[in-house]
Amino acid sequence: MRDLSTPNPRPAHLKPVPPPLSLGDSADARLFSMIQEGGTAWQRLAYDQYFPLVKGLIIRSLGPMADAEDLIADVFVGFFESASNIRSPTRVRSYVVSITMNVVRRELRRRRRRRFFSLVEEEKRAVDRVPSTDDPKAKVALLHLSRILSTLNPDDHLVFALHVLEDMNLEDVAQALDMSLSTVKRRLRRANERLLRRVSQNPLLSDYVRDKGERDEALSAEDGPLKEVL
Amino acid sequence: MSSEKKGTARSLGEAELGRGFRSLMDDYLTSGERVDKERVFSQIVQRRTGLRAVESSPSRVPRWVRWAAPVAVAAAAAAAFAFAFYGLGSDPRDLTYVVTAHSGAQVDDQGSHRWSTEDEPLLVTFSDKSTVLLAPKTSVNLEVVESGKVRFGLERGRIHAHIAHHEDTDYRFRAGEYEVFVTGTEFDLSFEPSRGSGLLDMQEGSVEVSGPKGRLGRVLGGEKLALVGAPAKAEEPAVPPHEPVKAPAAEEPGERDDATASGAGDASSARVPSAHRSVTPSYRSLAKQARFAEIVKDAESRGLKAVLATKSPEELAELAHAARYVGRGDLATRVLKSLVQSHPTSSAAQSAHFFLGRIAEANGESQKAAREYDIYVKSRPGGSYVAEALGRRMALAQKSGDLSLATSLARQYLKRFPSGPYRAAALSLTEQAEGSRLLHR
Repeated sequence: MRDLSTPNPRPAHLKPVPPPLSLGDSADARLFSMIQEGGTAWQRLAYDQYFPLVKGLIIRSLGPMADAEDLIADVFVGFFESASNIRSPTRVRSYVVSITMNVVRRELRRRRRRRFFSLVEEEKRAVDRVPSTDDPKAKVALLHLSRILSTLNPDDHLVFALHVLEDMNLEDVAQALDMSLSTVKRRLRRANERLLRRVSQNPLLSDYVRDKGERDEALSAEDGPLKEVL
Repeated sequence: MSSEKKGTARSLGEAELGRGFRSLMDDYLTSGERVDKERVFSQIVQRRTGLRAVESSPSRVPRWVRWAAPVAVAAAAAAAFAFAFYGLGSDPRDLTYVVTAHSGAQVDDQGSHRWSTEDEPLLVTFSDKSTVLLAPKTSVNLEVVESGKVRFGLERGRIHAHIAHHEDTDYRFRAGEYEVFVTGTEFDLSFEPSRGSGLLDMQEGSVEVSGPKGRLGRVLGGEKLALVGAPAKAEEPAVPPHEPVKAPAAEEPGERDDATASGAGDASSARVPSAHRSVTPSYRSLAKQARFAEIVKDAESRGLKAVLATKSPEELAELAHAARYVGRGDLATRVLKSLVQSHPTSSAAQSAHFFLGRIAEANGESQKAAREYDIYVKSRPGGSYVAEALGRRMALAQKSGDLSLATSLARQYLKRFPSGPYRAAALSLTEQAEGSRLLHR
């Protein structure tokens, strides 16, 4: 069992990120004020407010095989321990993102180490542990996608996950990962090249990605005129 | 595009890749709540307060297991004292154990090495820190504890084992006709003697399992294996109905029953007389597990003719896809052609034309590919692959120099799929044709 008892008080190599991933709204301002007052009442509020963000970041970054519940708990334990370090309401969200990405990075590294020593059979049977989806091909495609993503360098992986899967702009990605913009661009280009090559070699995934993209594009096209009117 | 395998004729673009990935992940995130928010919060609270087992909090850990944490501490302390006092424990092979009741008091087996629980669980703590927790209404016997060997016989009921990994120790658990060889792990094992069956529920690590006919294979953390024995009554379910059976253990092909292989997850899946019934898993269930090479191997080992003659159109389609995915275009073509000939009215046969087209295109047989795409679009005008078939057909016409046909197909494409992935190519063709028409006016 992983040792989860040690909280992650402050990301070791990630400085609290300067604003803004999103400008501090009233909820963040209220939360910040409660954190400053001390006590524990703010923790449930913070949890309710940031649970969807943390969950989305973790699952998009690590894929469906992530032991998401433990990792989400890691993030919030770390956040609750160190939130008093936050100096501005505009930094609450970015601080949560930083801690989350720190946890994700640690998990990616742990997986790489584990994969290095692990058994081939584990990969073979991984599909059984992907939580069920209604579409069996989606399940397999998700598994293939996760496998391909896991072959990336952890930092390239995080850049791709935040920018492409989480739809964050490059400046925000740079802030969240404590990288320069040019490094983010370089890593993104490298991740894209590698993924395109791997996906092109995988007929199942390329079929699925293409069909999926096409269906979704058709759907968004149906919404297009409405969006323009609005 | 030398790096492309057969079956993938057009490379993806970055935007398409990102859109597809994002959509796949979004679907996964929105298709169901797989993370229990309250359970996570409870875990956070427990960790922050240093409490790992709170009776009132929701937990995946069975209720009867939860008492074990504090008792284990007491038992470990008692064991440590005993081991230190008797000078044991310096060599991991010098295994000893203590048995502790819910109250923390040690239980004496009077030399029988056999324990039965009724309403309260019991905890067996070994000197190497391995523990075995006996659920209520469980009977076990320790057949051997010597030279690092432990042989645990589960006669009835359920145990939760957490075995520390040491190279010098050898833990085995017997449940009826099955033996679980532990390699450092945590799992639940249950056994119902009247049915001769049980369930192995792996939480961490891995175990090797053998049954009445020899080795079954390895079971990994997160997997469950139904241990299906010869039932006392043929009508009785082989596994308690409240225990879902999600995934089988590693098994030899042909040695597992189809129901468990599919991971059906319901009690009915276990209504089979024996885990060793020689039934081949369906190609569909293997495809769900991405075991494409096994599908191809099975078809070839049985003889393709026999497979083509006996399998359903849907199974044959799975075989064809598996062949494509492992780079066996030749086999895929043969299966798809047979599908078209033998089951011409099935939807699988109609879709087969599209895939025949793709394989032909990947092999550089443009005319053949065009013919197959045409058949597909005509036979399945509302089919899932029509946009792709139409786009590819258009590209083939353009490549062959038939601009008139290409333009006509481009107009058709834009009308039906105005935002499809071939939009740019189609627009370019129609604009080119329009420019040419104005020039000649």
